[in-house]
Amino acid sequence: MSTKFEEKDFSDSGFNVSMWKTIFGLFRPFYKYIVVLIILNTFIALMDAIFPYLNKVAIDNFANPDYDINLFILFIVLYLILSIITPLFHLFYFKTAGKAEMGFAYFLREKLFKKLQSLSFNYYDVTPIGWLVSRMTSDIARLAEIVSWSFTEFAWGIPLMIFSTVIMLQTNVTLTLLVLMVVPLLVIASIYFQKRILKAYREVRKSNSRITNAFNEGINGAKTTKTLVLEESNFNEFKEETSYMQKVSVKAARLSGIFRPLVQFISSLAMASILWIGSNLAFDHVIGFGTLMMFTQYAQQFFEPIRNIAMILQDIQMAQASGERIVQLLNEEPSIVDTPEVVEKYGDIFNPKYENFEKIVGDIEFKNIDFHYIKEEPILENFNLKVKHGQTIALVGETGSGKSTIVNLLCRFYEPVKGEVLIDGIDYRKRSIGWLHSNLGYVLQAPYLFSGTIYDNIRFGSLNASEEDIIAASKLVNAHDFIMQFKDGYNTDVGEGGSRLSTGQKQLICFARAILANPAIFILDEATASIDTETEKIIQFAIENIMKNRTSFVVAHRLSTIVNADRILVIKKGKIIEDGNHTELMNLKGYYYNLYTNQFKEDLENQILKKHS
Amino acid sequence: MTRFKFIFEHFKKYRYIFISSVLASIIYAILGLLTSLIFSFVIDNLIQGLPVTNPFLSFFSELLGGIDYLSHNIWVVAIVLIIMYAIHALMMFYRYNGQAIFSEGLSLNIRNDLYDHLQKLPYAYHVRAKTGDLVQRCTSDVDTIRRFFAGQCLEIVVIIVSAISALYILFSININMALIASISLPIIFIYSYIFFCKVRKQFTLSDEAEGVMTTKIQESLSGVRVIKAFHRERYELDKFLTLSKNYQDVTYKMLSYLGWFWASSYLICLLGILSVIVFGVFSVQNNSLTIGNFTVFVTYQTTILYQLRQLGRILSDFGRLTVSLDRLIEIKNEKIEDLEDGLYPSLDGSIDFDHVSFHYDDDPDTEILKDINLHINKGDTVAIIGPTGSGKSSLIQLLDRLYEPTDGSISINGVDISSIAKKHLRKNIGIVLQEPFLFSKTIYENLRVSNANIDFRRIKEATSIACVHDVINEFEKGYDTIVGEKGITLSGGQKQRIAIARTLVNDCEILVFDDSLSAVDAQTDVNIRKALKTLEGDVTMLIITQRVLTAKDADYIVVMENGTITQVGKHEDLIKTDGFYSRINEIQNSIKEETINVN
Repeated sequence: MSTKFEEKDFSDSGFNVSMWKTIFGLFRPFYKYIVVLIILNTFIALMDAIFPYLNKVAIDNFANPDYDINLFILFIVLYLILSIITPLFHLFYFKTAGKAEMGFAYFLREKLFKKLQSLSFNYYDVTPIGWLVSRMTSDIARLAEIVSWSFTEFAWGIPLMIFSTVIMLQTNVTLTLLVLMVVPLLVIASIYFQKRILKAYREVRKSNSRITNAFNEGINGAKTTKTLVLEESNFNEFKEETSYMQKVSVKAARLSGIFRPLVQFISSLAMASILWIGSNLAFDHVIGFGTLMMFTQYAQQFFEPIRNIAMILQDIQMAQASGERIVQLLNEEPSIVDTPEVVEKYGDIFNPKYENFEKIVGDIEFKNIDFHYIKEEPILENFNLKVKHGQTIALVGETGSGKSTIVNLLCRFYEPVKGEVLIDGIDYRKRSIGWLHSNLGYVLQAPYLFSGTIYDNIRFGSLNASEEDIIAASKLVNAHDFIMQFKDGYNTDVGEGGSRLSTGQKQLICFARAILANPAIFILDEATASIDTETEKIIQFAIENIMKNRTSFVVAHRLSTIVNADRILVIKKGKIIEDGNHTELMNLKGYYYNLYTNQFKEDLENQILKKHS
Repeated sequence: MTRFKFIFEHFKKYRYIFISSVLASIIYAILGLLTSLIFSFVIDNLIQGLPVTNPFLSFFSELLGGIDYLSHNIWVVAIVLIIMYAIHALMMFYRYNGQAIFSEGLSLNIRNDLYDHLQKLPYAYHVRAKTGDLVQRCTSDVDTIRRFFAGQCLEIVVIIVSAISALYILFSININMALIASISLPIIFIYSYIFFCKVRKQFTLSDEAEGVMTTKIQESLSGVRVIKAFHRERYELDKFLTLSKNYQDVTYKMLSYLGWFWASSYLICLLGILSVIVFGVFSVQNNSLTIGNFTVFVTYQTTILYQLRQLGRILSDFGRLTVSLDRLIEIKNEKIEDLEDGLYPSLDGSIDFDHVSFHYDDDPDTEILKDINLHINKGDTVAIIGPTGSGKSSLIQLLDRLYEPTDGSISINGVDISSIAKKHLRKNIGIVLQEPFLFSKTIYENLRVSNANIDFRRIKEATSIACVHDVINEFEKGYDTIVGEKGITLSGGQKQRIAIARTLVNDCEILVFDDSLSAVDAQTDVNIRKALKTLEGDVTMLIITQRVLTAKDADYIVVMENGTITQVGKHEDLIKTDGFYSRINEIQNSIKEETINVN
């Protein structure tokens, strides 16, 4: 129908400043959390730097016979206080980051959901649902997590290095230099390895998704595999992929398996030099043993912030891809929108001003309409049609003839490229989309139900309908009886997408839903799928009830609907080639005549086949 | 199959590398503790000049030149420290490398085994299998197992070894101090274990809330047309926001639990360390503890506490591991079919159904086929026609041994097929299924899937017979067009025709079309059958259909109703006899070929 869906690949782009600007613009309501998180992180860093110092004090000042008992008690009290405060900082850090993360995610989901609800049919024609669901779930989750947790961790790593350095310098300059001496080595090693590790794991993920795919195919295609005896060749192909997976996984794991011991070893160079030079200093009583201990502790923990910063950078890179996809979606513009004047009067789709909605009589006119989905393939050219209110119009014709397009234009799911659709004499673009849709009853070819009860599904047609209204609507379309046959009656859970009901039952509930809305205009895209004779009769009855006293358009496949229509339009290549009621068109002996006679026979045949099954 | 056996079976090959990695982890754990002892030695014996009490230490110090020499040349000890760290790093590398090899090897073996097993499970299993659930097991459950072996497994070893050795060292230094130090150890371990077991519920709640929310998203998007048509955007938004809010709240609660845990367990650790410091200070003052040993106590206490906290968490994950294992073992316990075992006779001959009856295992009351007797000569083209559910498809599924008859027997060329190897049988009977599956590869690869060495000329012949060669050529990339999810979507008729071609390239003596022409239009149907007649040799053909048009040119027609054969004969004869065939013929024949396709 339209161009193929194509996903942009964001995986290897550099740092995208404008995207992050947009994201942080969105994050504005959560800035207070950021400030709190930065303060908390800095405090935690301070504590992490202080504890090794406290150990030094304990050894150097109190672990000898001539210590000051009062000072020692003071020390214990101080240590106790810090032991209580520090965990509290951690607790508040968790709670604040959690609040920011979940709040931002909620905020983004709402924004994106609204955007998706406002996008037009042509967007959904080409975009896979699964792709959109991933944006709404995993991309938002990742972005919110990294913005809330990772970004603020800079405020831990960098201050921790600063605080530690300050404390060390206060204590002993020589030993401080020994600790700092290995930092450049650690940084170089981190940059070298993190990059390669990230790349290696990307390869692992790719292979992993191919394996998932292979399982999917292997299981879905099992029957075909059996009849063609492909077990062995499939298996060999699969083994190739799993072997590749093993190879790249081991390679990736080995890289981190070299990296961590290497870092450990680099730190040990600092440890050894502290041991050597520090011991001599202690020997000469320049420093105490506690100081010696403290420096070994700093030497060991100095790598943590470096690794942390490397990880944050990696996280940001991953979040960037998610952020770009989200921003892309947020920037998507719906192709059908109301003008500001219309919105002013009628409200937008989420906040309609029902009090300003006019009633519809149901006179419809298509005036000089041109329409195409793709420029090179015009569907309608200078199409004209006038329908009086209360009439039932049946549209017949081949696939691609344009009959569904006419209905889609009427519903304003698409807008004409040229010309106008007049409802009660006024161009429908002068009123809101919500106004039109509120007055529309629309039953799709494939009946779609939402999970929940039958009751909820029917109520969808009119949210403030009473129980009596709902039962009355069901009775009108003959759905009441089968509904009552369920143990839970109207409270029966229909399952995801209505999966627990048969197609016929779903169809009837859709009718009840539509009739409950009491629309001025009714549109029915008839199902082509064969429904058993019994259900067909019931549905026919329902349709007739619905169409009474409304302007109705039926994209018709079933004979009975066609026969009873006030006007039958045969559409071919976007033109009306035959127009009249059943008797008139039969007399023409044209397209309609052929269609009718053939279908009549087909129906008969189906009856015979059904009777035997 | 027990869990242990399942693991062992896929792990065997790696048992030596596993054992050596365990050893490396043990050495690694112990070496990790030695640093503190070396510092303690330097402080106490070299700097303070205290006598060496530990026989190991005195042995090593003698080896390096004696206390006296060392105390003036501490650099020697520093070198020893570097060497020790080098070994430590090597052990660490060995462990990481080892666990990468055996965890990846294990998951490779499990994946391969599962895939192989699934493919060999009988047809009946796949008819009722829940695909999504199976894929889930083969991917995420395997990954749970992999993750355990890729880290946690040896982590447990390291933690336990270092905890025990640390305690041993501490107790040998000073029993009273060691007792003080060990009070907090079980507390932190049990606390973490119980906490994570309990909080798992909140994790599950969060997962579930996310699931419900995702389903709603999916539904609102799939049903977006209905929502728009009824102008229910606000209503849907409110419903979604309720679920989104719920997910937010539940997950926040989980995060806040985690916050409480890390904070409270941190508090326990800090108090544990403080108690060691306070009692250590007193012990040093009354000379029952040296300063060097005091530093050992402080360092060990710190590391062991954090490690035990980690251990509690890992062990609480065990439940997940066993659940994953059990789910995989369940698949493995399904019985597979033997494809190789049996005779490999020539299948070039007539087919006989002899008093064949059939019903499904789980529904013995519904007879699908009742006492079927049918003889098909080699080279015949037989059409089987009948309404849905009459047993047509079951008949050919029995012929291909996708199911076994409950009574009676089928023979080809006089050989009972129950004695023929399934592999041989299926290779020689080319069946085109009603809903054929194409793999998401190129069309070309799909066509040569059962015979990789086939030359392109043969493929082109097959696609020409199946009337799909021109269609394929119309695609931008021709035979290299990828089909399925990642490529183009083919219509039902195109799929069927490619599937027919895929079967034809195998040169089978027996060809079966299970309603495979239903999705192609009448003219193409005629063209394909015309082309099939040109096949070389005496190919026996069974065509299952509901269309008289498809059936009428057959050598003879078998009419099936309700699991029995009600009529057999030529088109000309059957139309004259009153019955299903003549009725259906009358109707179908009266529909003109130039019917305009209304759909």
